[in-house]
Amino acid sequence: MLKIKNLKVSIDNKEIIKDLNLEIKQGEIHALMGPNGSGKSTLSNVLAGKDGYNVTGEILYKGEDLLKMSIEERARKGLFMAFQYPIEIPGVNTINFLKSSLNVVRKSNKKEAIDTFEFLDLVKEKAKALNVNGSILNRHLNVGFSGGEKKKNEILQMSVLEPMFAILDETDSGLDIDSLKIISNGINSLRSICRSFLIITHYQRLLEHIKPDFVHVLVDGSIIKTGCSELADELEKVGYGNKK
Amino acid sequence: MEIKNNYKKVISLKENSVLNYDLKANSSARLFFCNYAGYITEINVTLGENSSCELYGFFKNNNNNTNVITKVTHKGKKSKCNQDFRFVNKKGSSSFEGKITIPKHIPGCESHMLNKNLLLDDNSKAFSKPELDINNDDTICTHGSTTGPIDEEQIFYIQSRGLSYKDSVNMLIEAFYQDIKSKMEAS
Repeated sequence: MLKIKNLKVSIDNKEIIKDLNLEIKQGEIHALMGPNGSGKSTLSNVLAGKDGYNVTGEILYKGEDLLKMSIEERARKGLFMAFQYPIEIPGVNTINFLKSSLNVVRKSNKKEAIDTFEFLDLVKEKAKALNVNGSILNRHLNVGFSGGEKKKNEILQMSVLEPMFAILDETDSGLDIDSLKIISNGINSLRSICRSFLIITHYQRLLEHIKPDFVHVLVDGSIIKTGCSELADELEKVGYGNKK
Repeated sequence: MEIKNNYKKVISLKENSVLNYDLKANSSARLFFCNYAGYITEINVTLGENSSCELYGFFKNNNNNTNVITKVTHKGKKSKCNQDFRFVNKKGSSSFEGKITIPKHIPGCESHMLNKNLLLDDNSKAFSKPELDINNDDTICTHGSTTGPIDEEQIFYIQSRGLSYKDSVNMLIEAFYQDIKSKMEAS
């Protein structure tokens, strides 16, 4: 699904990611853990296509050169990033935005546009499953949403768009215990043999709900250790410092 | 023109013009101004006792310049006015000069003025000059002005959900006018 080879990323001559290699196969869930400033969010931004980074190396997504694709092309080909800090967009209605997004993705996959009634049924069903209060759908995108509502809205978008590869950038940060459970259930319900996840987190507690196939430790821009889900428990006990 | 009851109108400006609205006591007006071709427009409003006026404007300047001057004078006590003028400039410029006058012997008035400008490229400019001439302490008055380019973080967010750059920009321009358009549709 995703193959990263010798990735180096810098901003203004400051190297953030130094020679990163990672392969995520179809159906796998990988967790990426690491201290603040280790390059986790930079990696997710580079994968989503954000501008402003100097990138060398290779990233293959479903066998294609990801770095040559525009931001929207990546999204249309099934790559989804749940933002660490979802952006507020006044004047854009949440449900209309979600419909535009779904239809543009469907169109590029040669599927017919979904009609309004079918769409409303779909969103209601997904929102109910995620325990998302329907009222946020009629508000402006992320405007005045609580921290938990913003994160739930990201997961709602993910469950409506049904991506092939989802990056969750610190989706668990700032969530209370109940919201964490709801969001974890949402992610688990999307788990499938054809869908892969990269879950970026600081904490092991999310991984109590979502069992990853692999855990990687990113420190100073390189993966210094890879293991199975027990590695997260170990990190919780000893911290990142002792892993350097 | 004199306004005695309730008055609502959408005014599409087609030339340089001076528009005068004289709101009599207890009357109300809701006026929308738009223009896509760049003119100078002066809007003069006088407000009688207990009258209420809303002025909204949305202007797209593509390769041209728009100037809007508003002069709102609260002549009667407890009169209210709300102004909201928004400009989107692409290789163009806009100028908004708004003046609110509340005389010394007129209490209980409320007046608000907002001007927002969106600049789509480096060649665009926006001038904003709010002026408040308030002579009575028993007054509620606010003004605000913002000018800036489209937020790149917002574009990135929209694009990351599959919309093209161009569609993302268009979505944000529509969003910029949304407050005014929803009021217009509700009228």
